[in-house]
Amino acid sequence: MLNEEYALFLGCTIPIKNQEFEKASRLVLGELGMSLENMDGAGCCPNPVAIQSLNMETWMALAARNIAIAETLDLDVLTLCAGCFETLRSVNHMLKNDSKYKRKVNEILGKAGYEYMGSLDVHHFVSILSQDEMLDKIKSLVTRNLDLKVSSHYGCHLIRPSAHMNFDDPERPLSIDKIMKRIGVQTLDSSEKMTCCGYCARLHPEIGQALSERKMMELQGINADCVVAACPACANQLSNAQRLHNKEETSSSELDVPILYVTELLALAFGHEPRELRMKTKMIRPTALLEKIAEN
Amino acid sequence: MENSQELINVNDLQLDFRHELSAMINGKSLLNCIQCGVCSSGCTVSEWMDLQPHLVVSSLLLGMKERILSSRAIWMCSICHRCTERCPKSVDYSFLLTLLRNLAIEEGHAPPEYTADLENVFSAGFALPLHGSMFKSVNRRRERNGLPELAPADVESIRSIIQVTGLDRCMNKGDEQSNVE
Repeated sequence: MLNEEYALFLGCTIPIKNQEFEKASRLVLGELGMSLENMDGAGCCPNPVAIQSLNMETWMALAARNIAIAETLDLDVLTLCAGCFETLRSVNHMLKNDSKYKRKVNEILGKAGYEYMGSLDVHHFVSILSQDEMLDKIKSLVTRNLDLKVSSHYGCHLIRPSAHMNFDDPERPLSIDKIMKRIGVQTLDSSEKMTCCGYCARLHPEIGQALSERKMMELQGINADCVVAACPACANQLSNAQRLHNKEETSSSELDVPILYVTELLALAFGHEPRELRMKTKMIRPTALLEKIAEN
Repeated sequence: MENSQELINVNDLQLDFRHELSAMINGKSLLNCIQCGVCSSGCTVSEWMDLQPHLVVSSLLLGMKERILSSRAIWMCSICHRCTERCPKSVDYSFLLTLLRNLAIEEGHAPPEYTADLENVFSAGFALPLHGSMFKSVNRRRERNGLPELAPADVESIRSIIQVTGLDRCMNKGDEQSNVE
């Protein structure tokens, strides 16, 4: 049996920049019977690349502080972002399995007025929604037929390192595809399906640009109606790379593949209107996709 | 590689570096490396790397501490974790790389992109800038989108953690005045 109540960890990018992802997620998770408690006082997860690269101990202690807030609510943590998921799930795993570091982190937290106990688990909405019980519920709520072909973009930090994330295959994941199939959406396989968006190599932005552009060219070539993502950093990177490509005078073709969040497609399938979901505010406008939906 | 002809003076090597690194949290797996190259063959960013992952590891095992800590290679990684996932000897390369970044930062090589994130976290608790009236305008936008108010982070405790772990030394402008209003 899955829990019905979770402590919702919002992080930074979603509540500040990508509020449309939060909106769709709250609608869908609520309709699936999940109740979400706010984690007052929580902050950055913190960022699994920048802050972890600066100092492992600071990264672990800041993450443990966030988990400690959920512990006072006595609820498992639910994240909407793959980056937050990696930080909180990894730190939780490491501290639960290393009493020396748990003691060390608690010495740091004690001075800040917190204590990490290691009493709960951390989830991403994809790790919950892809379980059989939820997949059946999802199917029962579908009221709109979405005749779409999409490419799932898992995001490295959702599924790896599998020693910590451990809910899907680290190289051939199926969870997002399973969710899409239950709402009647066809998922496409391609050689670029598992390509990293490259955002996290952000000290050298040309790397992310090249990786994302290559990926989006192939997905446009196989006529994907959209990419479906579970991480705001990936979603923004894949959109922005297309915008930059289209601005380039030397580009021979225009890239035009919208990026939707997993929960945005679920909300559309559950009958919510594109207007309510602010679909037209996306950087790569899903014009053709919305026309396709309106025809059904 | 351009420098493949270069001679290395054994006196310049820090032969005990492998022990320094392997004593750090989760650092032990370094010693398992058999130089098979699986990490490099699957590396997302290998086409941009001046030093492939398995060569970073062999350099570490040889004790070429300074060369690695001042290399470009440790900053190009996208942390996709495929190397860690595929290693037949369970070397956690992506984690080791993060430890190397920690050591490089201790030597003063902190990238401004990362310290900017840290300064944001120190200022208002979030990685995105939220100083001055920005917090209020985010909440106004949330209200228009039908979302509940975003609660301020417990900034005092976050600052305490950053200071106790000594990371405040990486900040250029730890401005305590410009925070949540």
